[in-house]
Amino acid sequence: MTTQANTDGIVYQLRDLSVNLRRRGQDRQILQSLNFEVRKRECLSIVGPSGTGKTTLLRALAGLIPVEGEITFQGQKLEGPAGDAVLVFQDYGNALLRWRTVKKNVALGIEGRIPREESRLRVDEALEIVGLQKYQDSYPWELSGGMQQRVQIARALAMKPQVLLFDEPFGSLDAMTREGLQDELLRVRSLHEATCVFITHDIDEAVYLGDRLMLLSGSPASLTYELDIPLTGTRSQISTKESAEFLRLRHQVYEQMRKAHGAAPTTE
Amino acid sequence: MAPHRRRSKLIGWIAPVTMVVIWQLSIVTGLIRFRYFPTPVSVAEALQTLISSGALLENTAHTVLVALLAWVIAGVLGICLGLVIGLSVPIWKGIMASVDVLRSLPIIALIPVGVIIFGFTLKLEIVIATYAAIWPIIVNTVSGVHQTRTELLDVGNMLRMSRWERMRKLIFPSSLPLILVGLRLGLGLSLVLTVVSEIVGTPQGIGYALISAEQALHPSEMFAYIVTVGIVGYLLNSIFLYSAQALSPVERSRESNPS
Repeated sequence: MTTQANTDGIVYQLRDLSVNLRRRGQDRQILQSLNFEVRKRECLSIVGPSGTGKTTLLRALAGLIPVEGEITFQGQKLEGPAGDAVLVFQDYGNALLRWRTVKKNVALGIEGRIPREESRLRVDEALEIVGLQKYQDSYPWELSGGMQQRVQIARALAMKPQVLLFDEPFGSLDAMTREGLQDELLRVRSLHEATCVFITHDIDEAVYLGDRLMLLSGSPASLTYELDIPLTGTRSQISTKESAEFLRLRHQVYEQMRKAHGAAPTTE
Repeated sequence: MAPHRRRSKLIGWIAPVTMVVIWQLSIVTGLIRFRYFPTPVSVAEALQTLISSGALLENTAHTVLVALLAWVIAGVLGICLGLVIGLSVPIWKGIMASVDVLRSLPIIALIPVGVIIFGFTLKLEIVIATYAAIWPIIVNTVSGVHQTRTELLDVGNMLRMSRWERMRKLIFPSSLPLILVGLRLGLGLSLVLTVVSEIVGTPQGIGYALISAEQALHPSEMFAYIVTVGIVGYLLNSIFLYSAQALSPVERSRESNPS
């Protein structure tokens, strides 16, 4: 077995991970023998076409579904939700509690677990980071989609997790909101130094946000490509996305995606 | 918004007022000639006499208290049972067929059974009304639990909530809109069945007063009690809706965007 020494700097270690899900009474293999690791404080983007099993992979990392093979989280075998890894769902409308105000939604993960005063401070802090203090007493359904997703991010941040798992968090938002939130995510990461695993089918988004990128494809899905993203300096929607380096990386990913699918990938 | 709503409320009064006027006119002009069919005016007079003698208040208080008591019992039992049935797949599979059969039985057909067991007592009224009110509450609570989104359950899992926390913070509040529908249906049924069992047996309350007035050939008085039941039903329902909206933000959201 691995010793504590060489798991330093590694948050997740996946060995021969496969996932079978039961659908309409039939077992279907979704993921096949994945081997990879997630390093501390990196942002790992996982891209792949819709329906490949990206969400399944993330749910496995969150400990929400049974798996074959092994997931090691912070040096220990993962058996169920770890508490230190928080999932931000794509479907914010159903992941937030309609009957609670923004403030109370953000407190959901910490209330009753830490002293009340501290909980209040952490909620304030998280709301400040996502810029929603003014809306703390509103209900989620009174806010726009982008704001609701920020509430969900604040709820995750309030828990001060080691790892943030993002399941296509901006998938159902319009382009403007999405870019705003991408930058906000980069800013949050620079403040919190949490490890991020970010799932998306949008290649631009994956390259823009990631330190490293992996391509998930096939059925059952496996990892077919891995790429470091050495974009230096502060990333910006305009200059980074126009830089030669960004375009080169983006080009590489598109090519790999095409190779994996034998057809032009759609951006959906 | 507000004046528009006021106007639509006024429009709502046109039909009943017109009907009462036609009713009065058709008797006064001799258009219909039933010996025991009173005019609205004489019904109003009877109502006034009953109010001043205190009989109306006494009978109404009895019926309303019994209906509310039965409703509260049905509410507590029904919600608890509904949550248990909704959460456990084996219990749900094992019991739902029986629930569907039992709730399809016309409750009125069971009143004679109740009379044999309880006699003409207060207990009869309460049991019958509770029995009637409990089904919609159970069935709606079960659907509410089943409609809890998987995302929400995932959130509970991810936050490592205990069973009790999940129930209190996620499942119950997300089922609440449907539970309220069940409670509202149950309230109506509870009042109706209370009145019915008073008509059939228990010698108290609006139902008994109504049937006594009929048998004593006092049609105006009988109609006065019928009007009273209508008003009581309307008021109970309105109070319920108003409190639900005042207490639950989700119900308020429903009110403001009826989608």
